[in-house]
Amino acid sequence: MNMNDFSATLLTCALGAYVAGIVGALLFQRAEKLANGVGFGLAAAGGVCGIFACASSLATGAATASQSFALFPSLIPYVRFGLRADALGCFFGMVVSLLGVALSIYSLGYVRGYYGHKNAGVLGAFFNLLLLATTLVFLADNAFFFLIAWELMALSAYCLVSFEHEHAETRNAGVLFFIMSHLGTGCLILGFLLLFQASGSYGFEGFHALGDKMPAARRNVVFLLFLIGFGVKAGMVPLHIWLPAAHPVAPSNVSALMSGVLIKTGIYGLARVCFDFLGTPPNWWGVTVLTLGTISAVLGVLYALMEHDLKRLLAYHSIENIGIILMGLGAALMFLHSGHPVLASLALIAGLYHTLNHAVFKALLFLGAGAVLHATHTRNMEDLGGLAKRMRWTTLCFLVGAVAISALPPLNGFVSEWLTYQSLLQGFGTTTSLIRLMFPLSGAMLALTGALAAACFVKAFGVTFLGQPRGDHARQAREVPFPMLLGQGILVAACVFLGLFPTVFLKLFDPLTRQLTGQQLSQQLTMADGLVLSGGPAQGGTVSTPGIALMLLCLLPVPLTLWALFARRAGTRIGPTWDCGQRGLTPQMQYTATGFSKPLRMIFKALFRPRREVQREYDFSPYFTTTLRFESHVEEVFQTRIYRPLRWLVLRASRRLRALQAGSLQAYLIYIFVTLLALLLFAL
Amino acid sequence: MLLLTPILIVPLLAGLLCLTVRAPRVMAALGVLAFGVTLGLGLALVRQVLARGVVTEWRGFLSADALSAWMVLLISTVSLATSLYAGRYFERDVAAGAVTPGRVREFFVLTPLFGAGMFLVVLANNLGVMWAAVEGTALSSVLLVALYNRRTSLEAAWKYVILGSLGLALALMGTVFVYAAACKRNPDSLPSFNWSYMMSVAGQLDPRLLKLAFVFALIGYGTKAGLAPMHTWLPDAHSEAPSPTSAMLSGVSLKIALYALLRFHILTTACLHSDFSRGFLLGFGLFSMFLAAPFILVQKNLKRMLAYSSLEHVGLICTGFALNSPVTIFGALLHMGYHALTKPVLFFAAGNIHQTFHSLEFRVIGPGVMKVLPVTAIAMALAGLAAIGLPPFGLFLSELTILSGGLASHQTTVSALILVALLASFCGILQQLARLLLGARKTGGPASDARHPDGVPAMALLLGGLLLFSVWLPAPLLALLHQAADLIGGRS
Amino acid sequence: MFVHDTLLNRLKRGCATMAYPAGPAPALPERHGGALRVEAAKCQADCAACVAVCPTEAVTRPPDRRVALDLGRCLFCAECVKACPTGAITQTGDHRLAVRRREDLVLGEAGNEQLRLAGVLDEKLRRLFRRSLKLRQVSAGGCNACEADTNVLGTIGWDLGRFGIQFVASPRHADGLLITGPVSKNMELALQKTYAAVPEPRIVIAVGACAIAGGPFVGHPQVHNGAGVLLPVDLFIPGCPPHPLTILDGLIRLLGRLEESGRKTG
Repeated sequence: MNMNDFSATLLTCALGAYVAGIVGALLFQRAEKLANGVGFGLAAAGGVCGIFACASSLATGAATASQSFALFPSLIPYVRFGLRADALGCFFGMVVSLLGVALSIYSLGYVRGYYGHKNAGVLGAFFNLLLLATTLVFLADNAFFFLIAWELMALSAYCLVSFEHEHAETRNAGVLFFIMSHLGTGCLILGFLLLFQASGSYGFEGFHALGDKMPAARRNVVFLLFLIGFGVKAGMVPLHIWLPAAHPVAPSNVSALMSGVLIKTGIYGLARVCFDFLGTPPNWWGVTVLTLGTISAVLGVLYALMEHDLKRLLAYHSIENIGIILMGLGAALMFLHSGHPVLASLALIAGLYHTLNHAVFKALLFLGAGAVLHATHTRNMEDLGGLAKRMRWTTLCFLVGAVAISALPPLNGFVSEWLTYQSLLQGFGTTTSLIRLMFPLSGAMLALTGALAAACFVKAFGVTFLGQPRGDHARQAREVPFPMLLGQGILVAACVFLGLFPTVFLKLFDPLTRQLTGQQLSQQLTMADGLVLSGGPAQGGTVSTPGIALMLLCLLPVPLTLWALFARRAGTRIGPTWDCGQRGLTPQMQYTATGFSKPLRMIFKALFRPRREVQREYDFSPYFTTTLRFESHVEEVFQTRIYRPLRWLVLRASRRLRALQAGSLQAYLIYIFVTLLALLLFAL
Repeated sequence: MLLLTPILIVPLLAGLLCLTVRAPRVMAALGVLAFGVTLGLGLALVRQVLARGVVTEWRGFLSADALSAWMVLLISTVSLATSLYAGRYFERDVAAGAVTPGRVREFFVLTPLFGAGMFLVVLANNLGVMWAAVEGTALSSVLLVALYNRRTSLEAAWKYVILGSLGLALALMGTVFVYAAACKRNPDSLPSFNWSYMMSVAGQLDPRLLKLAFVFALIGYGTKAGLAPMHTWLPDAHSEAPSPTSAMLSGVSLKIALYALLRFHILTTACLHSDFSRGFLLGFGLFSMFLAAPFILVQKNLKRMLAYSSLEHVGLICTGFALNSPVTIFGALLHMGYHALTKPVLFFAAGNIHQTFHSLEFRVIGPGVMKVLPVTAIAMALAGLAAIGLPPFGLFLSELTILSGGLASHQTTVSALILVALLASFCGILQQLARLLLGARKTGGPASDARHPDGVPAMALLLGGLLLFSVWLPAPLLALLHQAADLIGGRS
Repeated sequence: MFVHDTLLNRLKRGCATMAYPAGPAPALPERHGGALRVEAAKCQADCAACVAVCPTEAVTRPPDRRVALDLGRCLFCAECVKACPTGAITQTGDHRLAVRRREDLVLGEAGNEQLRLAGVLDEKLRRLFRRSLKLRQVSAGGCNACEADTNVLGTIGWDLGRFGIQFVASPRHADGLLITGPVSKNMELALQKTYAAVPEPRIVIAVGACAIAGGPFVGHPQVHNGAGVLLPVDLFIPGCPPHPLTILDGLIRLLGRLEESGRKTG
């Protein structure tokens, strides 16, 4: 059997499994357990098929731009339901399928929390629909189909975000998400139609290298439209405001899918447009993307530091990581312009590898947060604590995710950030103009981001899992059901493998870079039989994550030996924690998330503009306070400076316009007469 | 075999028969039967038109080309659904004491007459008869708007009749100017008033008179079609009328007026061979779309919001015609059909909500309608998603077709403007519907009505049709639409 | 020029720390009489003049001996010196007062006219703490005079740090406690917790009449009479308050840092 047919069949099976999942979950709505099992089981099956289809397609090199096939014949004009399994599409298809498997297995346990008060079948159906639509987005081969899949994806994501619509916060978040998504889609529609105008057809093959044939002004407009359109979906600053609103209120498996895959569709789109459609870019494109990426990274992590809602914190971290990915893409664009395709490939690999890594570890973190939510019914870190003893496995998985996202070796976050650093630092030598200063500057900002991210996860992990429980919910937490642990475990394994064996995965990028930039870098980036990752040609550094892991393992006996030799002789006395001699100390007096982040809040107070309000009540003396109320706010700059004023302006203008329809019949008659007069004057 | 005449006679008879019948169930059944028959006849007509191009009867008094056939299909479908829905709707209203049985009879007499009037508009060849038919539909619909006899309905009907009459008076002037042009060409004998005749001598008519005629017809029929700024009667009439009537008004009656306007547009373009009429249609269409958006954003009343949404869709259709490329005209015609399938569902759902909550204000109905009326809420949600242009519903397809046609013919700015207006109304409707349908119920208010889902056959028929035709457009339909597009674009 | 000026100033000032214990001790002020000396032989049979004037019942005439002067309870007000007709109780002007055991503070026995001064810690502790003794100060409800006189040891004149002795912020960092105040009931729990938080091996130093025996507050229901009631004390430094020199002498004597052989040691 031809490899193309094999992966095409598997892909069709995957899509069919998703459709079957939708139908099955809706059919068995009344029988919750059956709906849960059927819906998410089929989703997992679809994910497995998808992984095999895409990975085999990439690995065997069968993923080329010419692999296009029609999914089923179209019965309406202009639309062709064609799929194209090229390298970029297969790569992202692999990401979505991997996450689909892990998240579906996790959902089998997670959805049990909804039995009795929410419809698990509807959740399963929309989940399958989201997976289906996202896979189609990555694999669509023409603009019309892409837009249909894109809008379906947004619609299913909206329905999933609004799943717990009893709370006003959830409803508003869903509407905000959908509105911003649709505004982005509007830009996309215009962009695609401009490309259609230039090429005469909707197909992506016709769009290839179209930018070179378009006039420069039009090309720039198209780029900006796509940047805005895909940037909204990716969560790029300043279009990101929907992300921290929507991700926390969705069910946790949905948040994981959204952070893991949905925002990557924006990255896919940008990569497709910038590297496939628009030809050789002018420099300012790369500079813009790099700048916006840097800003997103820094702002994302800074706002994450101020959060004490576990899922909002993770949502802001998604913005940060998207910024890092965009830095890689922006650098790649700049290198393409200056004629360094090898460096461009390196930067592209860095960006896309980080896409894969972020999908894996962010989903893992969201699953952990979901497990915490499942067990304690609260997302507020200030009420948690002490979960490490009660939920050991979840703690371990979350720890792995936290280490990965802080870019610590030997896990996967480190590898992709290292590659990003390599591409940025090597970029300094590519041009002689002042623009080259952007590279080390971005590298420095990336370093700042990494450090702040590590600080943030020390806070998140420490406050949530370590110490004593700060509230009853945390005290009564128990370990979550096995499917949830299995789902997390799959992602932990993925984190570890992607971190320890990057050279293996680099081979998957060959067809990708060959298609987009014409280079194949896996040979250059691998040394010592795959144990060492190199930063490419001469100036690059080298690092070996298996080596680091091995070293850590070998060093582990050292403190153990020292402990065995010396610590045994000294006696051990167990006593209470030192509490300054006070009485009545409670777990609430542990370090809070807000307190932990105070130094950073003060350092960056020009950005945060923190407001603090303390109110105390006392009976007879202010030294003996009976009630204390503390409020601390960080200003959400984009909402208060840009979006709310804009919204207020629009609504105010709309309300003013209502005066036109005031109810006076005479006025209405006058409108008609005036129009008539105007037309008569104009026409004759 | 006569096709066109039965299409006119059957609903007319059904309406008159209802004068004698007592039981409301029978009246409703008569309506359903009548429009079912016309639907069947319409399908047969489509086949005939595809084969022969134009079908005429009574020596060209009635004539149906592709455009007319399409309109016949739309009128039949929407009227059928309305009749299906209206039976149970008025049963509940009578039970609640909102109307008397006499009024119900009035409804079931007037609605088929309304339908018959609309059929006459699209099938009449004579421009004067067409005008009279539009007047006829106006008269019947005015009485229908005033059915509830409340102060607000009477006020709405009053405004409707005044503005409508003004509009029709102007349209009459336009019609007269066309006839004057024909007379000027043929001073010796009285020329025929048929549209087909006018088209055949279009090149020889006086351009200035035609321009004048078009301007008056635009304002006149534009008022009936609900183009801004002549649309001011629209929100009041559509929200005060009983929901079945609102469905018909929004669903087809606006399009009938647009049809009449289109006839003038085709004639004017054939005469002038310039972008004169096109430009005006474009301006009014875009203006309607942009005017609708802010009113939707700050709307407090459910049916008024739906009325403004109709305004926006009609504006889009008008703009599609005005862009004048085969693709955009095709898209606009397709959009007419999809909208005719969608908007009535929204009005039926609004009717259910009105009867349950006794109010149409968002504030009073409150959030969480899904808890009280699950089936209605789901139908409204689906239709609402369709109305704002989301796949898998066909309105996405038609909107995208119009946009891509606009860009393909290098009218980029207009297409961008259309996109902006569509985005604005998307935001407005989504927010209002989400706030209405989702959420938890506040304490108090009516309990869940899941055991008696209302209006399901009508809504299911329309939604099912919408979904079906969103994924499958049968070849005869495509051919019909292309033929109609060629007709409008002046290429046939 | 701030740095320059500061550096010059410092250079001009030179070293301001006193030479003691390498040099002579600074003189005690006039009012300070130093240690007391009791010669019980001079006591008259029926005389209880000293007992009558003592505010804390430090001097008693127990049945088994003629007179007992408990320097741990003594406020060093010297009223008994003035009241004694025979001059049995005298002031010596000696600044050295620190002892290792509580009973060493009771004068009046034959052969016990003066204090047996503090000896060095045992060998193991001496080796641990000789060059580095970190103390946690606990102010257990006193008048703050002892704290003030302990605090002044940190200034550049006295410079406690040159002996490796330092007051630390947390008992977890400490080798021992330095307690002042009579240990009021309110501070009992804090004192217990602080002691429990100090890692072993640890020492306890009681400074001032309050910490040794309750001081002026002796007998009050809201105080425990001294730290010795609750904890094992390794060094007692009497006084009210003890002169900084006394405290310093006690500390470095404990560590064996005092070179002079001096009086007999116990």
